[in-house]
Amino acid sequence: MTVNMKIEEQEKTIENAQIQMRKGVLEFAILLLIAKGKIYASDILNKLKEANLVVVEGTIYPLLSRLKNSELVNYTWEESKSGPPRKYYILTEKGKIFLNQCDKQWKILETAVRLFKK
Amino acid sequence: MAINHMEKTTTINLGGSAFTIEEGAYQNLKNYLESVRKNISSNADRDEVMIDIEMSIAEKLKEKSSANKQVITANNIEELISIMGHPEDFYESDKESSSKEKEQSEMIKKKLYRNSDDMIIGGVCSGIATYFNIEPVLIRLVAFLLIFCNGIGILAYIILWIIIPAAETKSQKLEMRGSPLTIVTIEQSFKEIENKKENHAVLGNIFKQMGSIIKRLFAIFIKISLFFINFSIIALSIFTIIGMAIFIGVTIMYANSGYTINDIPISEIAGSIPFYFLLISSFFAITIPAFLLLIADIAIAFHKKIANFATIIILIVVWMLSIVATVTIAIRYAPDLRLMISDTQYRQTIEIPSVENFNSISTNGKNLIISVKLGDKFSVIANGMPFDLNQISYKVDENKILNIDIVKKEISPKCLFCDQKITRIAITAPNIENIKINDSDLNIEKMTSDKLSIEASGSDNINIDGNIKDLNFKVASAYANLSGKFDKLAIEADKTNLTYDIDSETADIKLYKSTEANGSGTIDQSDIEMSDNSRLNGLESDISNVTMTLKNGSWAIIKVENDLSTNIDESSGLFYIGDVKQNKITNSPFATFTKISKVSLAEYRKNQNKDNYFHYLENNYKLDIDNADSELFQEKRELLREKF
Repeated sequence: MTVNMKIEEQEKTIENAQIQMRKGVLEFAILLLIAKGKIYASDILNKLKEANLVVVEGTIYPLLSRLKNSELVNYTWEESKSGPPRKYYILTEKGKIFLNQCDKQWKILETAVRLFKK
Repeated sequence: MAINHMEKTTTINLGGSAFTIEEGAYQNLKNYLESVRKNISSNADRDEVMIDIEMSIAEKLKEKSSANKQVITANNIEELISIMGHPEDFYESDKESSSKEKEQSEMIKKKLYRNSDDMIIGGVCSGIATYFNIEPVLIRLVAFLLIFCNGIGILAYIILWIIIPAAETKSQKLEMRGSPLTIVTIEQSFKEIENKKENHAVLGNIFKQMGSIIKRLFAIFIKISLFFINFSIIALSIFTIIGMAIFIGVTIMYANSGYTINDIPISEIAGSIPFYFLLISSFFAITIPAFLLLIADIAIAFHKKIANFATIIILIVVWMLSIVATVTIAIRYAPDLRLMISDTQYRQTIEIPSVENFNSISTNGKNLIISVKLGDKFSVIANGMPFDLNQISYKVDENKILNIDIVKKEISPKCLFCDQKITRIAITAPNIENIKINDSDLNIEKMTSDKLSIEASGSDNINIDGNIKDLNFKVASAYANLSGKFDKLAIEADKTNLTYDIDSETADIKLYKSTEANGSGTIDQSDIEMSDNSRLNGLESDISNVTMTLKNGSWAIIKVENDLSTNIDESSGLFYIGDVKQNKITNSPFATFTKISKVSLAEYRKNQNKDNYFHYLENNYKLDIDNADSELFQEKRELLREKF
């Protein structure tokens, strides 16, 4: 029984680490996607899923809301042919500056990881 | 698609679109959305996020339902949840600034449960502790102390046990702790919904509930019993061990001191046996089982192993050896010890010097047996334990009275169990006129004397035997035996059990205050006075002439040959044998005054069914009442049986 518990614990720690890493990148990734031009939430999700960055969608909505509240992104309502109007997200000026900083940080991280991996 | 069961459906509006959904599925979806909402950080714009989520869900459900006009089922919802993620996925844990606030907002309402994960009896205390978020030990301590307030603790505990439900399911445990809602709770609630579906019958539910109450009561009973058994076992074991240790300590302390038991030094007793060896072996013989019991109890009740297997085996071996050693020593040395403790070996006989010129004796004190006889010289010889002998004083005063008293000399403080033992004092003197005895026993054997006066009280045993011309015997609260030949005898007895066998010319006998007397022998002239519930059985005593005065519930049976005078009050009675001349009869009209006669065994056997025949003290009698009806006979017989 104790052995099982240890294995479980270990799995949990690994899972936690993965989640933390993914979460760290997630915000950056979303901003990158939005930076390419106005984009609909579902499309963001699909792209993230393709990239294996998210497993479930629940993570995204609160994050988008928070980005909007921090005035990094904004959205506009646009009519859709197949239902109710949709929210399209765009990057604000503040968002662009923030993204720039993120990008710099990312490069530092990338270099660091590459260096350590050698 | 085959439809297996009917399911009620409902229509909902979600994200601006209408859906037909099964009721169960709707419930699940609703619960899901609620817990999602709780998990969304308040930092985010919660309502807005919820709208986003609902719209996203609506979009997904639309894809499913619009294809073939299907109703949304529980399966659809499950699938949806797996895509959208568990409610806790909506929670942004990296937002530290808001985490505290979030924690509070996510706390579900706490409920009071019995904590089945941490319980000693029923989990009441730890349940309460969990509810208030304090250490269970504190609550338990309070509960324990309340036991001593007229048992309030016990009663309160039982009541709480009955009214507070146990946290059995996962969601109940979460509610007990007030933990945040997670998918676990959701799943649990789904399961509960399913369970509920299975139980439609109301009656069945009632039975199920009653069953569970009975089960719970039974469990409570078992638990309480176990708790008390446990408590008793632990207390017993610990007290045995501590008690034994104290006993050994005290024993060793006394053994090395100068203390004595009845004049025998303890060190001498200890020295005659393998003392320390016996102490150690008996200590182990008694404490090891107690200790094993204790660890077994702790192992069973608290799942804690105190001793390992090897230790237990060693303890058992030591215990067996101790038992063997103790028993061996006990068998070997018990007779020696008994001989030593028994007083025979230590009794001394001493002659009291220079106690002379007395003609009276006065003693005072229990545990003295005084023997008196006449002889040429004065002598007083005492036999007893040295300790007791030391405490008796002998003094002849100016009235020629020998006073024997027990003086409480300063007892050696080192003497244990120094209770007084019997001391025998033999007194010889040329002439004795007065004997006064208080609490002591008296023995007078074969004394020939002209005149003697004896006054005794509180004695357990008085034996007087002699040929005394003039004996005056006054006795109270005693057991007395009087026998011998007398010219003039006067007896006055109070609260006494008296037996006499006398040959006397005149006897003045006064029996007062519940005195019981058994008389035998011959008396020429007797005056018997009885009062206050006294009894006299004089069937074995032949009296020539007697005057009987019976008052206040006194009853007598006598044998008389010549003259009989009586004065009997209404509560007393006399049965007599003999063809007498009734001299002076001044009885109360209601007094019992009945003649009986002794009959042969043959006559008794022939007539034993008649009311006037009776058997009394191994002899056969009949009532001699002229013209009496059978009821009167019956009554007299009853009185005889009752009074003697």
